[in-house]
Amino acid sequence: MKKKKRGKISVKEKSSTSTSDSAPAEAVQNAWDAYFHAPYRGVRAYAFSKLFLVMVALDTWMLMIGHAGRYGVAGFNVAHFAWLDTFAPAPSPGLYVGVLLATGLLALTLALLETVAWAQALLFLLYTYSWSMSMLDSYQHHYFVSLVMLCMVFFPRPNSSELRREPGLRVSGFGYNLLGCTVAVLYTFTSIAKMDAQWCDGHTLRRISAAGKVFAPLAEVALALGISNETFWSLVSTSIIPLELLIAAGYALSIVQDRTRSRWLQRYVHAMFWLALSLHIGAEILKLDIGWFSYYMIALACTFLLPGRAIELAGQLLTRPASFLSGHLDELGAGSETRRTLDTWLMVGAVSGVLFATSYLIDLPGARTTALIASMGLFTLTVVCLFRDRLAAMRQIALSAGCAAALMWTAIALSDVRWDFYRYLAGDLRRRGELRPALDAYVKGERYAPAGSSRKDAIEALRKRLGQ
Amino acid sequence: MSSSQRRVENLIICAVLAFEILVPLSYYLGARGYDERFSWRMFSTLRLRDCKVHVTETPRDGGGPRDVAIEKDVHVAWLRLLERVRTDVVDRYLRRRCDLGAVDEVEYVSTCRDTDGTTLPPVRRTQRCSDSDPRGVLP
Repeated sequence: MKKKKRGKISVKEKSSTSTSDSAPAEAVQNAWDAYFHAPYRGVRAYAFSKLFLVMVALDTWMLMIGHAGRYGVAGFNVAHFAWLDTFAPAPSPGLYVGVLLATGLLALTLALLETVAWAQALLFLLYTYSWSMSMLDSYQHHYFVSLVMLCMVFFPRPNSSELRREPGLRVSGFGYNLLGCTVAVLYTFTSIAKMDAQWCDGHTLRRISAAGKVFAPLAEVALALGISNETFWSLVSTSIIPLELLIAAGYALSIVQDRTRSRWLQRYVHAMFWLALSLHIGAEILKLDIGWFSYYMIALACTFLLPGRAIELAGQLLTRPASFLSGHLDELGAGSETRRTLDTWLMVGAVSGVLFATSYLIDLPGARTTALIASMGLFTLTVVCLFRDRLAAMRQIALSAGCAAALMWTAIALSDVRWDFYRYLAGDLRRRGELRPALDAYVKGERYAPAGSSRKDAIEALRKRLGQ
Repeated sequence: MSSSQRRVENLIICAVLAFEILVPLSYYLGARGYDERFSWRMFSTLRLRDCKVHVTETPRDGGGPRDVAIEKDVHVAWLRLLERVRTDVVDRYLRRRCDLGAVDEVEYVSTCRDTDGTTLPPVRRTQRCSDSDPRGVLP
């Protein structure tokens, strides 16, 4: 095996090992290695990590923050793990928002950079802490996103230039293989979960979604064909069980699709792409309350189940701007050593300024503390890079963090998340009889109210009750 | 790659996969209670049950049990979790009521109607404030 670099291997290599004359234990070991350490197209891991990190950043900023007002109310909280209640600080809106802003900032900074394992591990910890600090966040897909992040710690890290230079580059790194298995486990259990009478009768599907409306024309056709409504809904619900098991098998097999010669295996995996796509587009059409879960799953389907040529094409589109930017960033490193050091400090200072400005504009509790911690982190990292003679990398980190901060403000400003935060907070305060803070929250929320959603009536009513 | 490094990697793979499989499996092979976290029951029928929760507390200075207005005490999102009979939340809430005032006993009763309209047996949990643990078996 000709290795180019740790974690990367040449296109032409043959990685399988003959097991014909091995002992059984060795044969198992070889089969394990051939599966979990199988090489695959580097562009799959590259494209997925970029896309996924951007999605996580937007998810945290544009969706999750809206519920922050629930945290720490009346000092009551139950964490997902009892030890967190003992050792972690009591959740509050500021802490929750701060952790989410930091998670999104780190995710987007990593998406713009060639990531490193420790930063990916930090992201995993931050994100996991965001949902596990309280059972108020009981979305199972947040737990799933944590598992994806854990697998990504062990992803290979080919850079955009390598992928552009060598299309079809195979890499190895067990994180990708492990992620494929993780998704297969998820689909298997979601299928098992549906093997109960209530689901198979079709009651659940009709009650949790807009399925009744969406499938109404089909139900009428079925009725015309002599299939009763009950049988129709039972058939629709029950059919999802084998579909999910087929997709699970597709993910389990997808890991070896880039090195197998079996056309049947490849065709099966590619067919599962369409099945997975239709399942998750269907979930969106049915308006299930599952956040961005469908989109995460579609991103995974594109990564694992699409044919190599299709993902290479998408990868070329993705790596082109990354290579372009990377080339221009290298030009920033020109000049004497003193000049480069000064430029780096100036850049870090400017990015810290951007962080503080955005934290002020964001107007949410916890934002300024996050900006302070992020700036301190950048300055500490600059000192480390200075001693390790890695100022060029530091400039890239600083620039990425600056871009991430600007995008954070844009994402929050374009979404209704601040409106959601203040109106939910005000509603709860009013319900619990804390009228003055409720009024303050409503008034603040008015700045971010979308057209036609003003709470002027509630504000007037509160002012009257308070005698203002 | 050295064999020791490969061994470490294989150990990580085994640990992660075992965790991912055993955690939900323990739910399905166990009592299949109300705590569905980590079981991948995305569209659970348990969530669709129509449940009503009553918490009553008996004052230490005598008098009959009085209702607790949960939604005025804690965030209404916790009421949803109490309705879903989330064991840890139920126990912590009962303990909170004990800690808040001069109360002898706090009782939680959840009454649910299943998705097919049938009324399920009520779930009861009682916390005697002088005891450390509540009584009553949660499903």
